[in-house]
Parts: sequence; C-alpha cells; structure tokens
Amino acid sequence: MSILTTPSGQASASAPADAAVPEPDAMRERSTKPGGSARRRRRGPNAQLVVGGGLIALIALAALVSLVWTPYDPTHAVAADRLLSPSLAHPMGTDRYGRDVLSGIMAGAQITLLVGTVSVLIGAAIGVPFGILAGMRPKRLGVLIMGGSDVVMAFPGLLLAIVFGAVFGGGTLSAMIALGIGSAPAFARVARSGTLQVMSMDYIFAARAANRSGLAIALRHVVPNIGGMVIVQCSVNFAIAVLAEAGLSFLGLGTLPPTPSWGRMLLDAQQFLATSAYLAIFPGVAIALAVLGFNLLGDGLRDRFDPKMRNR
Amino acid sequence: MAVRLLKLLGSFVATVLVSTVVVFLLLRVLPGDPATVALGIEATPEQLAAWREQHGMNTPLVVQYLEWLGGLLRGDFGVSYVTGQNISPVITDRLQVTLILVGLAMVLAIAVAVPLGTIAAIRHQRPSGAVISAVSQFGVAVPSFLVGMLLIVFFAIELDWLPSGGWVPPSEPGEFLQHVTLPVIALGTVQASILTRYVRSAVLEIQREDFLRTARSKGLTANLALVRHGLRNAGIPVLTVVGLQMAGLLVGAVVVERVFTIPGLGSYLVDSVGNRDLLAVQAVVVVLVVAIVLINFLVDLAFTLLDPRLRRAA
Repeated sequence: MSILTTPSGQASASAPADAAVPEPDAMRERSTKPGGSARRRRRGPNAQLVVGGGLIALIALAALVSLVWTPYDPTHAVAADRLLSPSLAHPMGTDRYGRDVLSGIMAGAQITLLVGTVSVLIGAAIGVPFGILAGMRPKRLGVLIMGGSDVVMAFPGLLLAIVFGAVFGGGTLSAMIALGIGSAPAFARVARSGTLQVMSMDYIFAARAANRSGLAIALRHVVPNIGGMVIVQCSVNFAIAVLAEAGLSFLGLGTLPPTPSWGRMLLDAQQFLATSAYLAIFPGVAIALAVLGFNLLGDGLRDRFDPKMRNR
Repeated sequence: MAVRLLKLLGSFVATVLVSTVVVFLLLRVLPGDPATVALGIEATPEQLAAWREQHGMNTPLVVQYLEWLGGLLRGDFGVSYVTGQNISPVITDRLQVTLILVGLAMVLAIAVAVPLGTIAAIRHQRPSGAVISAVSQFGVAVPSFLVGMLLIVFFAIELDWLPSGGWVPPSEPGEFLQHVTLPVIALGTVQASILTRYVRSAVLEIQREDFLRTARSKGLTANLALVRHGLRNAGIPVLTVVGLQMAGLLVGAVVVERVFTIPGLGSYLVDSVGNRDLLAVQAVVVVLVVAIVLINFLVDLAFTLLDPRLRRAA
C-alpha cells in the first residue's frame, strides 16, 4: 500500500516497521562542484564499507572463536561468582548465576548471526522471485503479488514473531521464520522495481525478439542486474533482524535459555540495573555495534551497487 | 483524482479484510485445544464438548470467521477463555495508554529531528553537520528498550529524579508527566535519530532544486529561501516517513512498555501470549494490524493530496 519507495525501492534498517520508505542515503548529497569531492571520494576506500565490514568481521570472529573457545563455559553457573563486577578474570563481569558475560556475548554472536542469516535468506527466497515475477508481469499478476505483499507488510517482523511465539511457542526457529516472512515484502519491492527498470532496456527487447523464454530472460538478464540491490537489502534486513531478535528475546519469546542471546541477557539484566548496570551495557553495546555494522555496510554497498550513486 | 482515491480506499478495505483472515487463521492453527486451555486438563470430555459447542467451535471455519468479524465491526472482541474478562474494555483502556505513549514519542521525535536534520543538511560540509549525522547513525542502531534501561539507571536510580516505571493517567497531570517522561524519551530518541536522517536527506535534495536557485537569484538568502520554499517541499517525504514511523512505534512500544511496566496494548499482548489467551492475542494483533494498514492508507492519502504532481496525475 505504501507508495513511497526510493527509485530502487529500497527500505532501510532505520525504516519503521520494516516498511519500504525513502532511504535517506539514497538521496545523499552530490558535490555541487563539477568534478569535485564526490568524484574524489569514489576513488578512496568507502569509509562506511570499511567500518561496517570491520564491525561485522569482529562479530563474526567472536562467533567463530566461540565455537571452539570461550574464556568460560557461557552456560555454566558458578554460585560463588555471582554478580562480579568487571575485572581481569571476568572483563565484562558475571551475571546472577555466576556466568561469564564476555563468554555469553561471544556465544550470543552465534545466535545473532544465525537469526540474521536465516531470516534474510528466507525473506530473499520468498520476496525476490515474487518481486521479479511482479516486475516481469506488471499487470494483473504483478498487482496481485504486490497486494499480497501489502498484506504481509501489515505484519511487521516483530509482531509476526510474537504471534508465532503464541502459536508455536517461542524459540529461535520460529523467530527466524517469522522475521524472514516479515522481511519478504521489502525484498519483493526491491526486486520488482529493479526488474521494472531492467525490463525497459533495449537488450530485453532483443532477447524477446530472439524468442528467449521468460525464465531465461529472468536468469540471464534480470537476476545479474538486480543482484547488487538485493545484496544491499540483505544487509539492511540483517540489521532489522538483529534488532527484532533482541527485542523478541527481551520479551522472552526469542531464543530460549540456556542458549546465550544478547536480548535475553538484557532481559536478565533488568532486575539488576541498580547494582550491576554493566550487565545491560555490554550486551546492549554488542547489539548496537552489530546493527550499526550492518547499516553502514548496507550504505556502503549501496554506494557501490546503485548505478545512480555510481554516476554521481 | 476521484479514481485514485477510490482505488486507494478499495486497496485499504481489501488489505484490512485479508489481514483479518490471516490473523484469524494464524491463531486458529494454535496447537492444543482452546477448550482444554480454558477448562484445564482435569475437565471431562463432556465438559470440553459442551464448552466447544457454547463457543461455536463446532461450526465451519467460515462461519466462525464471519461471526468473529461481525463482532469486530461492533467493537466486540469476545470474552477471554483464560481470565473470563470481556476483552473490549481492556483493549480500549490499553490502546489509550499506547496511543498516548506513541503520540508523545512522535511529537518529541519531530521536535528534535526537524531542526537537527535541517542543520545537518545546511552544514553538511562542516564538522557540526557531520557530528549530527554520525550521532543519528548511531542512534538508529540502539534499540529503544536499551535506551529505556539506560535512562532508568541514570534518571531513576542514580539521580532519583523520575520513577523507573508504572503508569498514571493524564487526569493527574503532575504524576502523569513524571511517569511518561522516560518511556517517551526512550521511544522518541530512536525515532528522532531515524527521522533526522530523512530530514537531512530531504533538505539536501531540496537544496539542489532549480526553484531554490531561482529563489536565491531573486535575492533571498540561502536560509530564507530554504525556509520559504524548501522546507515545505522537503516536508512531503518527511511526512510520509512520520506516518510510517507511527506504525513502527506501535510495535516498538510493545517492548518499551515491558521495560517501564506500562499497562499498554503491548504488555497485554505479551501477557496474553504467556497465558495462551488466544482470543486476547487475536484481538490485540488485529487492532495493531488494522492500525498499521490504516496509517499506511492515510500516508498514501496524504501523499496524494499534498503532492501537486500526484494530484494532477490523479
């Protein structure tokens, strides 16, 4: 229903309710001086890409290392070590069960990346084919598909995940599926608007004249041309998924204990805010850095892939 | 124009109807028997059968849906299987609380974001503009419930200036303001960060428009040209984002209400999920979904009515 998308139809992690809204950075400033700073900026390394990629690499590294090593067992309770303030032995302190917070954050990175990856894959797997179809058959079928997309858009990922929590019980799997379905409309919109642009190109007329099938045109011409936009959307939706999973786990409907998750750690921290605020700060910073990383990566990738940005 | 408005209205009604079907079906596939949830595991088969009969569970699904929809249209959400409470008054009370929270958070977000975003755009090549952009980029990444927890630590626990949670109705203005301040800041600051980025981009975009150059060539200063001609045009996309943010806030409030133990719609939803109170969950979800579709419709409508290009095209 929402008619406002960017020319490329991209939504943003900062976009409310996963809605497709005009992406602020798609309207980024151009240099007013001919041949000025915009062109020079393109030659250097893209700062957003570097910082975003660096933050995500850090989180991915923490998740990978935690598969084989953490300072302590993140699920092992030690009654004698309850609520210890940060120290050399426990750089981020311990929680009310005596579990090491740093180990929990390292292991929690696994869940964050897992939920983000799976939900983005589900969203893209549903949204992109429907979006391409809607772009290639923009009349009746396209209208029907986008009407369906409007209905799904009425169920933001977090709300859908809460409903799934009610229906199937909480848990990582239902959260991933709900967030994936919730993100599908954003992918469909991006894929549709990209496909519409591609379908107006001369080479599509040539391919049609050469009697290529719709599937062949989609695979040979549409998919490679909209790939960049879809990758940008993946990054944006990853950030949305990280925030939503944290919120869901905070409500007790996401990842279930004893599996460490950043949102759950915040929930546990809530009753110790007066005495042990660090319990909230460390997982909170981890969530913010992950979201910031994926947002910056999305912005940086958009600079790389969006032809309009490239020409600036 | 009329055709476009009718199309929008038709699309709105169709989306609402299909959404209600989705909500109804989603919660009807709930594993477990609502009769057992209501009567407990010690209920006899006869009691369970009687309960199902009494609650229309034996009728075809289409009939059940139509009865439920008819109830919704009359504002009747039914009686909770778990608490025995009439759901409609609870929804009304809770919705008021959530709407106050969301409305005030949006006002705060606009009050902060419009000046900051405009300054960031005007000074985009100066350090102050860059700082605003960087802070807003970081603000977007921080979950509002984390902001809420940090506000509690600082203002409620350390400084003891404001209460850490609870709710007092606006009929007691002093107490109300004290209780509402931190949750509104928690919800509003994150939205302000998001909106700042949009305002900045919209103003930057407007600054490059020909009509602004014309205004400057007529002798207006850059700031005066922006105020007289630019902001009005930048307002259209920003207004759209504000509308969509309202929808995001409705869902975001679910978590923030939890942090501040506020008896809003979100808390009711989470409690009902915990109690497996099917009808209550269904009622809250349908209210939120219809609200979101309605907001999207109003955004589309406002966009069509406000943008002269769309108005002419329509």
